[in-house]
Amino acid sequence: MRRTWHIVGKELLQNLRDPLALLFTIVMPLVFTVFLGFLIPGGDENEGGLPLAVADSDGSPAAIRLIEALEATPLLEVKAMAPAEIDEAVQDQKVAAGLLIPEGYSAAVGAGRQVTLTFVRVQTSSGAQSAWQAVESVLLGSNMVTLAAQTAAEQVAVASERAVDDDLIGAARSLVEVQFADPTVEVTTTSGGASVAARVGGFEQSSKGSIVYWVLFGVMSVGGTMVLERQRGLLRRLNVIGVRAREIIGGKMITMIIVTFVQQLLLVLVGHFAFGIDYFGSPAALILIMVSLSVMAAAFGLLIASVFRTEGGFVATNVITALLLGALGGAWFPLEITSPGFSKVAHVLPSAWLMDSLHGITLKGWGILDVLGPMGVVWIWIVVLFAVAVWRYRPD
Amino acid sequence: MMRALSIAWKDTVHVYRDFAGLAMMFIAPLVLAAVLGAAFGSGDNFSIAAAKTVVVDQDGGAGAGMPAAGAALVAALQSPDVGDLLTVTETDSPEAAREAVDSGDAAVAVIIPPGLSGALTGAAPAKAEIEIYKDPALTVGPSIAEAVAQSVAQSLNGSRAAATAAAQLAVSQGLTDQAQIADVAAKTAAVVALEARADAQITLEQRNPVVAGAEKEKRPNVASQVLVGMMLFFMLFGASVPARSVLDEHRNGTLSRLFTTPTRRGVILGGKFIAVFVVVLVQAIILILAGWLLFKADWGEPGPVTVLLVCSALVAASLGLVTVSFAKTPGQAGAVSSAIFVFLGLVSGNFTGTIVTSGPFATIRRVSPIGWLMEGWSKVLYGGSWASIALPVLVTLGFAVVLFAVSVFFFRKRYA
Repeated sequence: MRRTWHIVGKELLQNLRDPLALLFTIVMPLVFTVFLGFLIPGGDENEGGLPLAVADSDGSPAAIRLIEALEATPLLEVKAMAPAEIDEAVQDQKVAAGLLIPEGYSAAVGAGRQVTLTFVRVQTSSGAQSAWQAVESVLLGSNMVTLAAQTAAEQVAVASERAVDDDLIGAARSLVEVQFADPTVEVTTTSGGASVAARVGGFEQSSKGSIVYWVLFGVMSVGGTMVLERQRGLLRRLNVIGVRAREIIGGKMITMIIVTFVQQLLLVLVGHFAFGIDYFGSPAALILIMVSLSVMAAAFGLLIASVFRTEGGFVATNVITALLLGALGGAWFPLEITSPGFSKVAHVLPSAWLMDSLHGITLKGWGILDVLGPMGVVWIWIVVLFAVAVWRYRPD
Repeated sequence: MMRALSIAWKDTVHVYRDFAGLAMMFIAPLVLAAVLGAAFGSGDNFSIAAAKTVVVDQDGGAGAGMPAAGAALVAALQSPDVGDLLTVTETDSPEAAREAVDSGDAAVAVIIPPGLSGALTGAAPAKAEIEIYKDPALTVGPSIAEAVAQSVAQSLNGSRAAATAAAQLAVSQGLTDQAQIADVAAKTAAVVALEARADAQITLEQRNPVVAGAEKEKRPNVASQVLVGMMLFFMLFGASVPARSVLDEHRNGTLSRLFTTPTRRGVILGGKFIAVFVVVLVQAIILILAGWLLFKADWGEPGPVTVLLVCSALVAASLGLVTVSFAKTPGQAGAVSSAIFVFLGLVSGNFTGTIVTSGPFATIRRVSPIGWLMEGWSKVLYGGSWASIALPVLVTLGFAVVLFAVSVFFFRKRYA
């Protein structure tokens, strides 16, 4: 056991002296967290900011009223644009979507004719989907006011035996708008769990995603050293002087666990204090998740280092596998925006269960008992990865 | 020139003998494109999983013969229009509905209060609140259920507002008979309720953007959009493999031996640069063909696609060379270039593609040549032609020239 700790000490010292290890364990995850945190819309209506380009080809008071209603929607940030500019702005992702108000809009609305607005969007954009819902909601309200006013005016005209004219419709519209200002039926949304967050997005997603994704990269330094030591015959030499394989594997594993745990701790602290993510609702659950993730990453690193004989092979496999585990497990984007069945398949992987558990403790108030199930899946993976790694391990 | 080509040939062959390098160049981008393509749908369709929704309808209606508002909301949630987006089940109590959400069995609960219909039809002003209780870790499903509830609430409020406004308007028009006023209000509410379900006056239709130069809109499939990002990202790794051969040969001493032969150092480095360019160009061509065969990607017009391919190869080669030119050992080069490539991929949108859209991102990604390439490829995928890719092509060529000059400077400084 003493030899194991010597190996741990040597590996940790080597890591501390390696600026590249610092780059992969701390700098890059923080850059990812900050960048993706700002990039992914938080979805909180109070945050606003989904840019919607609006091209008004009508220029009428009715069109201006519609634009004002869109501007009053907290989720949208309306940008006036020429019709010819809209498509390029949407395609270049300068705006989330574009809305074209056609010429003759006002005339159609005034005459009670149907009029169609064009919504320009990129199919895969989640921002465009949110903007679509916000615009639909505004149009629905507008349609209801018009319908209610028109109908009230018509019914009153019949009852009072007079013709429907603009004055009557205008008066009806004013009365309807007063009623809409204080609606009878309201829809309120509340979240389950302990969270005050409106939805997963922004730093809630990027902080946890970076932890899961970059911890898998965090083993690159120690795992790469193991490959190099094998190439240079150092592992064989250790073997010759009586250091057992289990002591070497133990030393490497413990180092990877320590390095990735410290990495996680720093990322959790930054997430909590800099971005307001409530990681410490259940410290026991958090520690269990962090330990599980570190041990899983160590087993993963050990397996790759055991299987691949060259540094290039180790790095390539580490990069590809970490990318796949991150993408499939919901570290890059929430799994709920994926296609039917994808989320189920993704939950074969430990990364998806780790992401679920992190969301659980920060958003749903999960405790230690709630994370036991997901962590059970992770530990099954750990046992399998470790068993294969030990089986494949050769000192030369 | 023949010597440079011989060195290039040797390095190129060497790359194709390295299985790990080949996996990074070909298998990784194709697997990731397939996986991410599957995540966001298949073929031309972008689809998401239906959100499990539980509904509690506590509304008893407003009396015999009167339509129940709660039932209208349940019907709207179960409508075929949102059938692909919501899977609705009914339950008896709000507690059971909230428990279903808390336990993860449902994404969202819609709780319809008792007396909803009564609040809408009663003479006295009253309030009713429809509660959407959602899983805090989910976004899309709950927002769809909320949108449906808002839509029905708007319709109900419209009927109520119309009836009240009609009554007030009737009084203002001189009607005094209370029974007649009530009749006008009731008829107005009924007409609005009926018409609200019919075609709306202002409707919204959606379409994809039409790129400058394209005759009509084109919707590229999801996998091809993802593959572009993955291809450009892994081309960087493809370039770094042969680029690192300079450092490998330096470490193994073969570069020094080569320098003792009557071959100018510029020729040796030139041969290495050619190898890097050829390797990434071949990689790009194979990935484009694989995308066409495996994912049925319609890449667009051959001319612009060819130009973008060459530009992509030039940028990847120069980036691969420049990241290696700073490093002292192959290990250092591998780690540093991986970090730089991942950062560039992040900034340029290679991982997120069009999933995330925001104004600042369109500006930020232009600091990177890969971001410009992503823009160019996106335009071609959406049906753009020469005019639409002119700016991205010019900018990326500029980046390639500058990066190549930087790498030549450092290599010459070290080996010349």
